[in-house]
Amino acid sequence: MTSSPLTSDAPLAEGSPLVVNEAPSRRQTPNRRRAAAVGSWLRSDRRAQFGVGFLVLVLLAAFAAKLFAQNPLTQDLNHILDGPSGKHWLGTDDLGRDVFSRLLGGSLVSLRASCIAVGVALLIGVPLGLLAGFRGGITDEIVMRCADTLLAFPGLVLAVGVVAMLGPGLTNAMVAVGIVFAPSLARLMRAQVLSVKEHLYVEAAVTFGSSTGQIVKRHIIPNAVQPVIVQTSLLFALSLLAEAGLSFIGLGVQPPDPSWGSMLGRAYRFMQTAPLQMIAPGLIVMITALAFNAIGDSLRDELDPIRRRRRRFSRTDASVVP
Amino acid sequence: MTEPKPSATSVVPAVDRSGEILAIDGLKVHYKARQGKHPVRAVDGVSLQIRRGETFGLIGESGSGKSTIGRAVMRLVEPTSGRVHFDGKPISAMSRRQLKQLRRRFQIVFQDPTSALDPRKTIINSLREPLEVQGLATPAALDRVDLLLSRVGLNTSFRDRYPHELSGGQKQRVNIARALVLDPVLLVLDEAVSALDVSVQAEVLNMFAALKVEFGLSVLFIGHDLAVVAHISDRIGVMYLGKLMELGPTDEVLDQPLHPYTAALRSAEPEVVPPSDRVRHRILLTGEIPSPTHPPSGCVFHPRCPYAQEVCSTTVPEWRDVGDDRWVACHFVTSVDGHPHPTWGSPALG
Repeated sequence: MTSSPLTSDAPLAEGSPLVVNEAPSRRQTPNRRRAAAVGSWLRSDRRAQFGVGFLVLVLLAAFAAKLFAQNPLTQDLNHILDGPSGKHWLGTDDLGRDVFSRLLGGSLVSLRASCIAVGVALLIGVPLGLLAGFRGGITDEIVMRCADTLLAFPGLVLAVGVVAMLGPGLTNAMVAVGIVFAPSLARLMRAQVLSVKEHLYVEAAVTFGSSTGQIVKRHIIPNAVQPVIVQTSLLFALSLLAEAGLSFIGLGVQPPDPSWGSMLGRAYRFMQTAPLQMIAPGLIVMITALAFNAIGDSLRDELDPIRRRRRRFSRTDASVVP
Repeated sequence: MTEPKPSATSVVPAVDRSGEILAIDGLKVHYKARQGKHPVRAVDGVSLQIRRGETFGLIGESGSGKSTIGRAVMRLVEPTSGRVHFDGKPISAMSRRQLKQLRRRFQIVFQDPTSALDPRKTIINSLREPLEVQGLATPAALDRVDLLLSRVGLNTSFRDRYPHELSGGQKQRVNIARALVLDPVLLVLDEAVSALDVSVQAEVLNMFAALKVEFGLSVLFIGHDLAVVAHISDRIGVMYLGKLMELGPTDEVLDQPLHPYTAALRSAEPEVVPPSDRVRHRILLTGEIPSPTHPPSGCVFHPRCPYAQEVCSTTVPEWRDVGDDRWVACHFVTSVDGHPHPTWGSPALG
């Protein structure tokens, strides 16, 4: 027996215990390490399993619906506002369209819409908050007064204004929602940066020659971003509702395209005669919002070494007890 | 004649007493006050030199500006005026880019070991960071980090832990290791043991002494505990309200203080002697340390000095070389023979 199968590809010099211990961690690519980290996160946290699982399910169902389900735009005016049946699992709406296929067709629209809103909010809010908090002084004043101005506006009015400027349509509406969300993210990021930059490890980084960019990248952002992640997951949920609201008043998705919000909007008009119409889109908005929140909470814990350790330990303890 | 770089394996390396590793010249650091137009005179005209291989202790009450000197040496604060030369190079006048290379040669350990470590980095990543920033992260250098970790008394099981899993003393050991990663020649220890409890303090102090020899370091040791600073320092400087009061070899300064403030500081030290056997004269200072925004006129110590005369409130005392390698800022001390006042002299220890 010359060498074990595990080390057969390694050069002979790596025989000492020190080198063998070192070798695997050095050879691991960053991508592979990241994949392993995501894997262990998903395995260890039920909230993450629920959130990610549900979103994947919705997306799969949406794509499957494109292939197999009934056309969400086909009207059947002889069967309007029907209850659930074998043909229409969730019934039909006021134009006789299949609610189930509209729900699945609308999921892509709604999720895309909230991604746009959250993306815009992150892209505007986080860099500006970082800049304001880190630079301070006049930069801080200018950025934060602009944020205050935006916050002083009623959100919906601002969104309506932006849509009026850019023209109606879901993308424009969600960009508007993103702009409305941006100041709160900017404030949060600024507050975090203000507290993080006072730590001695930032000064220590200066003393061994780090540039400002390196300090921001290595220390400020990783330590400041935690509550921003949680806030982002809340914003996903909020933007689902904002999409629903804007589509409801006709500024978002344009008929006849389905979205969860526009379905709620239509169903609302028949609340007296067909109350069941509201339940399916309402429920899916709620569960999706919950899924986003669960992911956010879990991600916050996972990214914090203190919380991660505590959770893993408590889980181990719990599993020992029969 | 160039000084040979001491290797880690040698016995006590020969100390070239003539060379200076750090020269602080007329350093002033004034902060803009939150309110009011008077600046905070944190450091107000300090000159001192640190010789190669020596440990220089800087002692003073809180607010005396001793930490600000350390921060100015590290260029964490910009001096209002004055110069800091490290190894003959003017670090107070260099650009950030020029300074980056030189920063490998002088490093600092801060007082708060917890705040000085990034909570999201494992110990090994914190230790590797200086090498990465300086572009020195070769496999050999990274291996040396492991050696350094064991040298400060932490075994390899600490490599992948996070700071919150370590005790204060262990964290401070990591900070020390990090300061040594770049192989500096000057180490600034800014109250580096003040946050640790007494038994750990002693361990860490002894480790400093060993590391100093091993790495051929010069040390600027900043502290407020007279016993601790005296234990480790070759020479000490006594600060009060942003100014140096007295400077000289540790034993001489403590056995025969020339400045009234040093004497008061010395006499306030607790001693392990029954009260009946105490022979040393106790100098009790009254009042509080004045505000550095409005320092007293003349000698900054005069409002609290038991020997103050008319001249003390009007004229700033000269920073005077009184011989025997000693410097004092007092009108009445012109030689190492001491202060003319009768109660003056060496506070005898039982």
